[in-house]
Amino acid sequence: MKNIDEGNIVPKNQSSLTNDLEKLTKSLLLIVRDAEAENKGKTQLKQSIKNKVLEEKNNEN
Amino acid sequence: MRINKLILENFRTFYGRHEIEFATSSKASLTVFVGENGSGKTTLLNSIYWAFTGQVTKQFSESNILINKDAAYDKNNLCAVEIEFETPTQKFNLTRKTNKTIETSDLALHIIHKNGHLEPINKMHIEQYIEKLIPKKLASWFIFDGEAIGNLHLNGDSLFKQELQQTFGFSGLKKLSDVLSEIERDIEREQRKNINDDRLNSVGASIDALDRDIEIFNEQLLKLRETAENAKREQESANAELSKFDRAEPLQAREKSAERIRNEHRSKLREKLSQRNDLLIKSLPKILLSSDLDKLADDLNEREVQQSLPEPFGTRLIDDIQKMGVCICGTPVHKGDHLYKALEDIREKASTSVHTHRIHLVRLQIGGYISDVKSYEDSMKNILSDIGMHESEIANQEHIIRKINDQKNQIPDDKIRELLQRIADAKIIEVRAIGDIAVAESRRDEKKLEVHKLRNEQTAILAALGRNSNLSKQKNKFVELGRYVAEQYARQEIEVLDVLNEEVSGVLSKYLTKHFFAVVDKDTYAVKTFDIDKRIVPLSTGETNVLKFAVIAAIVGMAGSKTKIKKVNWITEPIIAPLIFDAPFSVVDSEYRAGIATNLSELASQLILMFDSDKWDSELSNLLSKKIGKFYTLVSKAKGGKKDLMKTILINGTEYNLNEYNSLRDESLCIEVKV
Repeated sequence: MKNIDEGNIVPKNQSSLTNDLEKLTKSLLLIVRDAEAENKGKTQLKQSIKNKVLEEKNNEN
Repeated sequence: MRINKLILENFRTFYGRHEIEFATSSKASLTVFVGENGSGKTTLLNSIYWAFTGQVTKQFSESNILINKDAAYDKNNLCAVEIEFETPTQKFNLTRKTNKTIETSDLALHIIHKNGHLEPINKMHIEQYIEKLIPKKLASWFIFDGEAIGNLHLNGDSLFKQELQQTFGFSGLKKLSDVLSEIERDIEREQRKNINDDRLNSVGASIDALDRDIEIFNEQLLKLRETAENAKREQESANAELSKFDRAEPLQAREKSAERIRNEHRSKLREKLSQRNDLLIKSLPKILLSSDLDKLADDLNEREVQQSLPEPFGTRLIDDIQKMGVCICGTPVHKGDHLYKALEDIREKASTSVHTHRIHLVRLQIGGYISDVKSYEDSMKNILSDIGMHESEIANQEHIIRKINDQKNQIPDDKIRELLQRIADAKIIEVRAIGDIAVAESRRDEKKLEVHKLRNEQTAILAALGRNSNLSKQKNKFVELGRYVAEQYARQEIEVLDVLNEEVSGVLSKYLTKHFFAVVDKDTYAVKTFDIDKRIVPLSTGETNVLKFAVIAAIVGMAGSKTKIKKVNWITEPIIAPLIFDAPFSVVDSEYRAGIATNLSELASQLILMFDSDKWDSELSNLLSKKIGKFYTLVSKAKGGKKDLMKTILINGTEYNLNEYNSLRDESLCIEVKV
């Protein structure tokens, strides 16, 4: 995971990286919980998770 | 979640409308109901259970009809339960109504806004909403019928593990981890498809084939585990049925006792064998040396007796200097001068004190070695004798068990024979399933290892081809996330089990007279108890119930972050719900009641306890008084004149009636008592 800083790509520091992962995991867990409560199928759940993760990635870039 | 208010309308013994408010402050979060048998305690518990789940507990009699009989007779066909509750962010009103039986009910959920306005939640989403707050499968953990505590198995039952994992949100983490890994595989497939390289395709085809095999093994394992669990339950149920037969019961009790004694001896035998091995390792070097040391000690003793101990070198040197009349440094030494005298002193000390002392030390050391070896021999003799005793006792008990089984088989009763056959058949099924599980697991793990190797190979090929970097980046993201989720799962599970161990052991140490502690098995979640010597000990029925209450309180406390030991760093969201207990002490020995009640009140974020009037005493009252926010008596109203059997209860020095006579109908009434 990288950050753009004044035109250079610099690595994010470790704690900020962990925070990002924690936030993302928590929101993915909510998706899993909602999918279970709503009896969603596995394919649908997989797609929702994929979208969320890739959306996060796009936001970063 | 916290329940603020319960409104009952024509629900079973409660005729008409009844409003009950619960204690909600964090300092005094305990609501107590006290009533005699049949006064409506279980009805109250089931009204809450039904409102949230649409079901009632197994212990609830005539469970299919919920409407009050007199109301139905009056042609008032509305039976409803309304609950006002709140989460950290919102207040809700939940209403479940029926006018027929339990199978048909109408559910409504509203958000209560600060201005009192009620905003309805779409009917389609209500069940999901409730499921998120308190999943149906877990409701019986939080809305607990005390009489059902016997159904809680802490011996590694897979249902217990599943429910615990769900309470702490682990099942969500596990599912997320599985989905992330599947997405990773999907991306790999996409990469292979895009590149279309022969070597890559061949590796990919092997991975896919192995994955399918692993999937088949997983399905098999699921079925096998279910078979083993069912067989275990079948044995328990047949055993319970068997114990009802007078002729079989003493035999069963004797068999159980023999098995217990045999197992104790087995455990002690294992311990002695390990002690023997430790002693052998420790003593062997000294034992090997001891034969030579014996000789050396004898030799020294003999020389001492004969006064033929070797003369020290220094003594001979002094003799030579005095004889020659000159020191080795050239200084003259004459008899009578101060140097001659000084040398005399040195010789005296060297020969009588230092030299003897040194010899003495050597002898002491040899003596110590020899005595060590002797003590090792004695210890070994004791250990070997203990081993022999345990082995013979195990053989004895096994002989007794065989005899009991022969006797059991001779009981001329078809039903007993059938039950014994059921137990034997189920045992065979269980053992076979356990064996098959081990084989399937090992074969699946071999396949997993192969997949792991092939995927490494695939990564290397992809890197060599240097294409599809966008998909590679996507994949890396999922790999990184998957690793993080797996780490969090492992970390959180360890933290939770550690706190659980400490909480439960704390309760055992505080309330049991013996020194027991509990450890939750990391694989099966079986709760094992150990004595002060770290040996597994079986608990009595009374002690087991204390353990079960301690486990419930610790789980509920941990989910609500109420445990004082240490906080779990949650990444998942545990279920936080009030703990509602009907007849908590119906199966608990009186000596443990106060301790359990105190523990429950300390750990539950909101606690609602329903006591039989016989179980409520001044000790409980004194212990819980500071925690009680609301106190109710449940009064049984009855048609017909006053009876001498009328019950009363003393609360804070005032006597309250628990019965009322000459009523229009038989019904329950909930009356608040100021505390």
